[in-house]
Amino acid sequence: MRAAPIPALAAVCTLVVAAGACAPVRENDTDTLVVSTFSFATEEFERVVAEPFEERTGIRVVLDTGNNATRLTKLRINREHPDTDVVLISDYFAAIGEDMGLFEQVDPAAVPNLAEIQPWAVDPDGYGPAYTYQLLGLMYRTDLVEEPPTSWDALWDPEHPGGFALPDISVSAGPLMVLAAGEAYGSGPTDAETGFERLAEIGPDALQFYSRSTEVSSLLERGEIAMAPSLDNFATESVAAGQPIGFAVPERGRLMTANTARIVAGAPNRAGAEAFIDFLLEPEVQSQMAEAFFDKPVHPDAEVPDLMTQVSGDAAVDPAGNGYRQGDLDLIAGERSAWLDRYVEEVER
Amino acid sequence: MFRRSAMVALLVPGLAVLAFGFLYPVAATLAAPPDGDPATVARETAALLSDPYLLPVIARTIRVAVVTTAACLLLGFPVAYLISRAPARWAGRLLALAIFPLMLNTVVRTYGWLVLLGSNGLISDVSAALGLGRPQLLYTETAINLGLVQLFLPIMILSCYSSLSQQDPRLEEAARGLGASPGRAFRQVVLPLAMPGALVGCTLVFAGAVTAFTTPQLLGGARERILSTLLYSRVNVSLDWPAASAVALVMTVLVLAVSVLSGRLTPKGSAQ
Repeated sequence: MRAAPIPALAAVCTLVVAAGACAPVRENDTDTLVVSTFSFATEEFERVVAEPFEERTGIRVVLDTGNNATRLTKLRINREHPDTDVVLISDYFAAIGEDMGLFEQVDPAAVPNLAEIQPWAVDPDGYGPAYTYQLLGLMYRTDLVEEPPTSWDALWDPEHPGGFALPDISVSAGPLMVLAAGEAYGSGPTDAETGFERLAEIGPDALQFYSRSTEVSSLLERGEIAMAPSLDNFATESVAAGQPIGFAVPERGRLMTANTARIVAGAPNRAGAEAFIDFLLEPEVQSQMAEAFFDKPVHPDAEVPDLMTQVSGDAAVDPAGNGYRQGDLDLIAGERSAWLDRYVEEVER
Repeated sequence: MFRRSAMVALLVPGLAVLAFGFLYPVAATLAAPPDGDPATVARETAALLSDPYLLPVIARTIRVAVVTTAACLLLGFPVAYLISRAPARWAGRLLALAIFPLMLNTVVRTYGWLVLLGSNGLISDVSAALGLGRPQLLYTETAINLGLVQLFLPIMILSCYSSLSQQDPRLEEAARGLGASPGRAFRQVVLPLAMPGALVGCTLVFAGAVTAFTTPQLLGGARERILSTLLYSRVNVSLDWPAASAVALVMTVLVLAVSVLSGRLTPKGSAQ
């Protein structure tokens, strides 16, 4: 009599736990759109992108946030039953995902804005486009570096005051810096050999190899270093916060990285995904993203805030016209394990 | 009293959560990650254990964990002893003070060290004022040890305190009464009775130090790589899961080996 309720209680607990672990599988779900995106500026993203899109289309947007690698891993594990429709991911991880067959091509007819954006932003293989980009350059302390640097040479100058940091290979700026050194000092932006050799020369002098994007701003703001190769959006944020930070565009070795919007293969709401990508490329949305969290627009009609051109110059409006290009993504993605080991052994000494 | 069958039934939900939510994914991750099979993981593990670059990483991980554990024990045991012998109305407050660092977010606590150890930080300023120059403290193994000792000291204090507070202080008084010196009473009475707690503390701190990520990442940097930061690169940079599983396997074996050792060292019949 007394024992009977206990197994029942146990069974109920087990069921509750099991049910809690399962969610219904989404199939042809046109009411909801699951967008996998960066965990950075999520509130602003909700305000200027997700909510206006919901208002216009009536589709409920669910955000799934995380870093590039984690989100790519999720897509890969759920490949058989994808629950995500659109993924906003950096071009390098997009290239890896493409190799793994995780994405679907976009129908240009369903995304009319593809015809309007800067030509480099359109994917040559027909996958989702770049919707914003970041430029690699030298971020420096304006009060510690007397003359603004004009070339990557500043890193090799033994007189550099205040020390410097380099990107770890785990942040976007890392592999880009290898290629930038290849372009500046070797045969071109695929000359990784020269890039590694040149970086190996200064690796031992670097104070730190930053492995989080926030770390480079922190190192500069605390005055631990005077300069570091970095992506321009971190410089923009520091300048906006009133820090004595500048950003130098090098004369040679101009590499950029882009964030792309990809449709997940087998997306439960493919039409919604295409509508979302088109929305993301609209000039007003692009202008608002630039204003709210410094995502530089790829639509030529979008407004670029003055702060961005102050920090990054004309390349903040027309990167391709100013000599910036994306790295060879197939090269970086294909060689990633070899590059990691080589960077660790030769540069990070 | 519940009947035995009822007890078993009550254990089922918890065990089910443990088995499906913890044991199964851990085993799957270690042996057969999504991209590989046990054979690939075994090959990667063999490669890891024979790579001249990676062996120093394993050695550094063990060194950092051993130094952290020893420092926590040396610093934590006396504190736990004093708290356990303090008047009851003070013990609670002192204990709360000792575990206060546990309430701080790791990132916040670590940034404190960045400011303190930085080249414009307090230590560097004092050293420069004394004419000793500005030593490089940040991004060294010492910085990792400092950060980890601060992180795990409360755990050591708590573990030691749990053993010490259950000792009857009259045992020590009896030893003194029978002619033992304070040192001898401490060595032969207090210390052996406190062993179980100290061993639990050492195991917990060692396991924590081997697997800690944020502190070594922020205070050690890329040059002072340890297994947890290597694991991060394998997962997040090369996306090479079998190689990541190999690193995780080595970490798991290290931690298990230390818990087995500590179990062997614990005096029999001392279960509390």
